[in-house]
Amino acid sequence: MKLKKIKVNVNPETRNFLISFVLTAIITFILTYIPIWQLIIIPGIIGGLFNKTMRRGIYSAVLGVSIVWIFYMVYKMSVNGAYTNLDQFAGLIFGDLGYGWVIFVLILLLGILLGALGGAIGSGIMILVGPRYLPKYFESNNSEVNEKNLKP
Amino acid sequence: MRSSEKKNIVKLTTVIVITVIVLTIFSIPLISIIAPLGNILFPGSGLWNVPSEVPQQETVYFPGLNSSVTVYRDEWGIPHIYASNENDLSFAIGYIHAQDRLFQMDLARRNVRGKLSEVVGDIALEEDKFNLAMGMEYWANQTLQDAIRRQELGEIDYLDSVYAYADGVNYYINTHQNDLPIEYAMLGFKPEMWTPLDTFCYTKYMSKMLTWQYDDLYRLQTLEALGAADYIDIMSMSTYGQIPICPNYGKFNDSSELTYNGGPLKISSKVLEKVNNFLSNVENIPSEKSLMELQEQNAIGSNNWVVDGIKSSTGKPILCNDMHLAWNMPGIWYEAHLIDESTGMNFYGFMLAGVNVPIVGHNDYVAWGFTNTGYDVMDWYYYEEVDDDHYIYNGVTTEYNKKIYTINIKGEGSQQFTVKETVHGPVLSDFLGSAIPDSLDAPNIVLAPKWTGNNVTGEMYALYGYSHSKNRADFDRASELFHCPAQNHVYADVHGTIAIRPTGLVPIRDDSLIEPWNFGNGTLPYNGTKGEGDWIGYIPFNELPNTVNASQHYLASANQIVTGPDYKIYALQNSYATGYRARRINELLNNSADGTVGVEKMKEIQLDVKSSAARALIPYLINATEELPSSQKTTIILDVITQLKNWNYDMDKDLAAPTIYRKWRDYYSDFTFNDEYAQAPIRPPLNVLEKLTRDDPNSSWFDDINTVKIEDRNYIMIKALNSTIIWLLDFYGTSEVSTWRWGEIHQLDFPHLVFESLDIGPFEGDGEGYTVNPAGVSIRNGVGYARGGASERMIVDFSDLQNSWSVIPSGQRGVSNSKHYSDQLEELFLQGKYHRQYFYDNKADFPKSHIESQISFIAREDPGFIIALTTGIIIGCSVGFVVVIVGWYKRDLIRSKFKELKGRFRGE
Repeated sequence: MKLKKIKVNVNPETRNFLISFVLTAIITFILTYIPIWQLIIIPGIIGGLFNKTMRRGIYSAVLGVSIVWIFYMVYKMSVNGAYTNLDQFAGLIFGDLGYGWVIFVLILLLGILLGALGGAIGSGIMILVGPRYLPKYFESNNSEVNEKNLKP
Repeated sequence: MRSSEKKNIVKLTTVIVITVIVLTIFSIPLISIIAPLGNILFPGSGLWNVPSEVPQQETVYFPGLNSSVTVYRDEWGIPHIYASNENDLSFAIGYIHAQDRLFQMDLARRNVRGKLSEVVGDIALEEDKFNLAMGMEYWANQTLQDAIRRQELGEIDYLDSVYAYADGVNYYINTHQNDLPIEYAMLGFKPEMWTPLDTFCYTKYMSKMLTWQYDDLYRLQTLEALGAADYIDIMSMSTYGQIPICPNYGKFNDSSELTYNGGPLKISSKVLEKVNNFLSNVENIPSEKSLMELQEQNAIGSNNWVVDGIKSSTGKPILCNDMHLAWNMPGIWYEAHLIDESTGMNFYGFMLAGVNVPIVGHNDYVAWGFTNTGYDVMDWYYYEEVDDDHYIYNGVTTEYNKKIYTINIKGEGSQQFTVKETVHGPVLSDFLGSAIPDSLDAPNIVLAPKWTGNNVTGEMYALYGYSHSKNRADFDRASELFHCPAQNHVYADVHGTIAIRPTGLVPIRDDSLIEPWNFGNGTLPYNGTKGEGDWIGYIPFNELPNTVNASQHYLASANQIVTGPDYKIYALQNSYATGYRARRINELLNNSADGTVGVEKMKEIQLDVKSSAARALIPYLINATEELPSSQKTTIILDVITQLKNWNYDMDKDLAAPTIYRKWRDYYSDFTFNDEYAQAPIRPPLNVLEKLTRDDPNSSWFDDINTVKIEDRNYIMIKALNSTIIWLLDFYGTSEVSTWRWGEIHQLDFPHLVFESLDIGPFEGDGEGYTVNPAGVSIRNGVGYARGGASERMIVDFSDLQNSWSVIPSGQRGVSNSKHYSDQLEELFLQGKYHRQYFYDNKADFPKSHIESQISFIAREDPGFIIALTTGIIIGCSVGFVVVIVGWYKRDLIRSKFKELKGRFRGE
């Protein structure tokens, strides 16, 4: 039986967004096993390089980092009792237990911030160098760069 | 450059700058001792890598083992270790200690070795200097070197097990660098490798906790404040109510005969000034302040007792021990069951995490327990200093021996300091705080202690010997080597023998040169410049007190006086517990209907909170109030007295009477002694006040020297009662006396070693400092938190060793998110419960239902690593081979695709 080729029309911007989100997520996941947390900026930068606008770069990186971190934290809290550690750390700050959720939210917000910064850097680099060194890749018709059509 | 490009450059630069700022903020420590927040919080590091529970099935491969070791952890996380030889056993216990208590072990050795500043910064600098200067690390090393020498000569053979223990600890550290306890994440450091010196340092640490004291200096201050006559009067009453530990040396009458040689006190004001300054500065060192507070609240001490087969309801001896020490999370003691098939050792009891030999417990043949003797094993000396390099000893200008230490300080590099040593010990008085400078034309005075712990000591050999003993002779041979800390060793064996031996190194002083006002025997500091008080030897082991198979069929110690007046050979103690716990223990051991006691009775005794002190004093207060005129018997006084009259003297947290008594006792003691003792640092012991209350209601001690009126006992009691009522009304905010619950003002607290958020408690608690189940507090300023008491409870039944019981006031694990962090504390200890000791000498007999987790130690290389490596190589080579083959056959296609991509990228 011959398989029928199915062609799917995907907006290139959307395709790039998905690629950058997935790549960001994969690299973020790998980096959770390397105890150098500063490297977390890298997945956002790499993911951001696939986007031609800063906004898309930020969104894709934020999504990639935050989804991985949420899964990681929930997993660790269910398997390793990590929430108790958050609570005990929060106790140092607030003087009482019961504020572990604050630390959880704080970490998530920091992940969003660092993802956003990485994504902004990556897409910012692409915006600067893309037109000069990758013109064909960066060329677009009006409908593609029309802001109203740009949906992540 | 187009304007849009410029805008993009500005945007990008701004983002990069913000990124750098954010990364920097989270990469630097914002609070000095806490690690950078990024290292603590971000996924993949810090808090997220903290282990909680041990694996249910764990296999550890180590080729250095001789054969396999099996470990079962029961439902309390207590390990039962089955090994076929001692070194493997030590390796396994080292691994397990590290798995459960690594941070505690690390902190203890850093404390002794002056390495706290390395991890917490300069806030610990004074403490590090003081601990190094004390000499614990130096003498631990001397003791270790001595052990190495003896091992080489074949005199001992246990040192291999110490090295094996270190191997076990280090194997855990090496294989769990990313699974460290939360404390490491928060403080931002990693543990160093464990060495045998660390183990020996830990024993010095315990010795210091139990025997280091400043009492001689406090007595000097007290003598100066009171004068000789009053001082002697108080001291002569301190044996009141004492029941000696060793009953074969007579009993005391109401007071002892203390002699004073007469003559005026000639305490140098320079010496006193130095002592005052030194004690003020020492109290600023957290570890010393904590030690002093625990000693003041009677939290350092212990109970032990033993009954023989006649007094025991089982027909065989029963031995009990509860050691009173500081409460911490995790607790001091680590419960373990060790089986070494090669020597037949089958031990259950308590260890220190950091030391491979058991401390107290039992094997198949013998059981033993410790209480602190209170032997005077430390003296203070003062000298005139000539210059920075010389002092005067025995009239001769003598050069100091100097030691230079280096302390690494987190974030600040390192600092060197010099410790000067006299012939007796290290000068501790001249580098603490900011001393008031001496006048230029007067000699500088320095203080140095001499301590039995600053010696090559043999307690490691002794402890090893205890766990391998099979009878009294074996145990005695080992006891000869138990030097410091001096302990009352209670003993029982399967043959029916019971005994108690208060043993340790006790110095004999040469008092031939002392001033007439100095009582000698190490009571007061010695004038080292004059050559006073040199140690001329130690009391021979066989001349120390000892009781075997007492005719009363039991023996008991609770830190009280060791011997009665018939022991006249040597001076042993200059201070001891007031005797209330001992009185109560003796009472309970003798009040059963048939004269026998069983295991359940032993539990009751260990948990007893009836206050012998209250029972002695309160009736007199009640009588005093009954003699009051009606006009003074206010409603509230009547309510208070009603509570006291109906009280059974149990320091029960739900009752009001304990609160009233305890607060009243403070005021009663203050109003009796504060006038004379205004300048003295320590108050007379409570049994002195009891004697005055019972026997001398018109004693001059009750008279306030600041008033014209002559006060007597009853007056002072009523005055104290009135002050008590005012204070309690204010504290509780109600005149409903029955609601003044003891538990609201008396709480038990179990603080973490470093971080408050890891504390457990506080809990409302029963007891007080003088009850058998102690929990001493100060309630002078409001709620009192007891931070010391029974650090373990153990009951050993020789009729059936499986019917032995124990509990610790924490949990087995020091990992704060583990269920075994505080399970024994909250589920057992605070409820007055125990758990059974599973004492199966054959692992096949260990009930599967009690096995929570298992570790198998295998004596070979980790096959997992080899398999993974081999598999990786095979797969890698295979994939590479396939790629090369496919690439060769499809090389034209690959070339054309590559050209196409290149063109696209260049925009062609």
